[in-house]
Amino acid sequence: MAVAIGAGALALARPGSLDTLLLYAVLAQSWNLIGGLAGYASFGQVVFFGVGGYLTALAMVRLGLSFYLAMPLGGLGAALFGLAVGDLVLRVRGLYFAVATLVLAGATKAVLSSWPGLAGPSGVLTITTVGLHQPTARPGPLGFDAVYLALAAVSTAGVSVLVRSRLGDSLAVIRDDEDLAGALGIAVRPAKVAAFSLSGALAGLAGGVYAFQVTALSPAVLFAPLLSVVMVAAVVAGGAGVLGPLRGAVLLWLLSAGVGSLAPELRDVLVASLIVAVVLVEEGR
Amino acid sequence: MTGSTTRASRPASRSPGPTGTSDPAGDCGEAAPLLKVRGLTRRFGGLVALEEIDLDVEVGRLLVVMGPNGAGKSTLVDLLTGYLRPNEGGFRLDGVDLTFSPRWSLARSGITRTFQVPRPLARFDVRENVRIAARCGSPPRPGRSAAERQAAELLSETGLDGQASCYPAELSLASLRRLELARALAGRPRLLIADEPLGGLAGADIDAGIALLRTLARPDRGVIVIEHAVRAVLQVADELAFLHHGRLLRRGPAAEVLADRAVVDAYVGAGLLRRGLL
Ligand SMILES: Nc1ncnc2c1ncn2[C@@H]1O[C@H](COP(=O)(O)OP(=O)(O)O)[C@@H](O)[C@H]1O
Ligand SMILES: [Mg+2]
Repeated sequence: MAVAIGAGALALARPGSLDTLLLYAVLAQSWNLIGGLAGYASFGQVVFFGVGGYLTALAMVRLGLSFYLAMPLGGLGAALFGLAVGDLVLRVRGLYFAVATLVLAGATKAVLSSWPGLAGPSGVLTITTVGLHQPTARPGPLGFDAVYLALAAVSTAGVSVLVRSRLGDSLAVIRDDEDLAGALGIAVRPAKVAAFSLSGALAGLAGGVYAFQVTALSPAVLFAPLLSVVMVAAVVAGGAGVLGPLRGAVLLWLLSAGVGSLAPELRDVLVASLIVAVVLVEEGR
Repeated sequence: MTGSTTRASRPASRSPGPTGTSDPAGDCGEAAPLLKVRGLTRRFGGLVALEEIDLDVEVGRLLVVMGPNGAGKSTLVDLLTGYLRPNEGGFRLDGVDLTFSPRWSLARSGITRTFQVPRPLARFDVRENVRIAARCGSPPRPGRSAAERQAAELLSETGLDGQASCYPAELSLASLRRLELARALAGRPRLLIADEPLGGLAGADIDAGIALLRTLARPDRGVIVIEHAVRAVLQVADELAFLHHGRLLRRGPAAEVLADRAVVDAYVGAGLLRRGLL
């Protein structure tokens, strides 16, 4: 298990920097909402990151909106995307849900890759950061740290409110015995879709910040499958609840600072092992 | 929504006692029963698990549904709580047709149940199991602290206050059955359905269970209890319905139904069959 978690730690460039730690924290809370609290282990959570990132970039580039307006729009768009597809993918559980979300992320990435209007002929969408036409002055490294920190704080506060809410109770029952939930008066599908959509909002917001940080965007950058694995691994390593995902984010961040890069084939094997391990642990509980 | 939640004439004086031969849906001059089941039929492939069941349950009364294994008792519970759908027939609660309502909607409309095989939430202690059910059941749905208070009251009503902090894995079967009842009560039911709440119990646990069952019917609540044992049935039932091979064989006061020739034959027959004597 520890080895598999290490695989997730390789996901992002610039390991060890503060922004990476805070990004991991937001992503871990995002996954926590659906994988931890509701017990639906999503392996395509990066789809929200990508959707939020692209929407943020498009709002800045095409509409000339400020980043601080575009990023919430990206989060909202990711949440709506979750509402739209949630009812479909949340019909299945366990390994089937893992596969459904993997396919969702892969298909969305493929559609965006072959969409001619999305970027120029190069396939790269660029957020202008120099000259007269930049919509928002690009913050320095400390500025991005501050934005990520705010997101991580909002995510954690949101999760701590949610676990004590009626929706939090509903998700706990759904996680432990979904078939019982209806008898207790819990409307299962709306509760699951709400959790999926909220988790999408958090990942989408993170994707928006990341997009502005990276500026040159392609599906390969915003839909990197390893990001999905980071989210799973952080919660698996740190535990669900309110603080577990933060512990997991720190652990992954430390690992990613220490571990170099592995051969892609080895990474794929490790990712696959992680998926199987997580699903087996979930089913066996 | 179906229309007939109100009735043209509804005399207040008549007592809504059980009628042996109930007339069809549009009866007049009787107070509407809490639960009205008509023609309820469920088949599994070629097997008819329940056939043309008519039943009424009044508030303040406890109906026992009895019958040999496989008679269709749990199927009835599942049909009334959205865990199964009927092939024919339906039911109304307070005059509202709820036959095809989803499970959560039935629970919030006031029909809650226990399960024949207890299914507590293993990660939560007894108090939390009941609190969660209180928070999610029928309106008015309490906030977190009000739900905690309701849970504490229910634990003392069901005799579980000593085990409030225990986890389900630490409980005896008798306590697990009490937890099932406490959780079903936490949903603020108009109609509580308990599937074999004494099942598998012995000795003093049965007597304590009978005492608890006798407290369940209230002026604003009706109860259905599934039970086998004649002694328990005689002590808890306001009315008895006897199911056999999916058919409602007899229905009425418990002592009369149990003395009925057809019921004795069915029950003794089933008993002999179980012992390999028939
Ligand atoms: N899901 C099902 N599929 C097929 N047959 C079933 C199913 N559930 C119950 N039955 C059958 O329906 C009949 C009634 O079952 P049940 O309602 O559980 O009986 P009881 O609770 O009275 O012992 C039995 O013959 C049982 O085998
Ligand atoms: Mg049964």
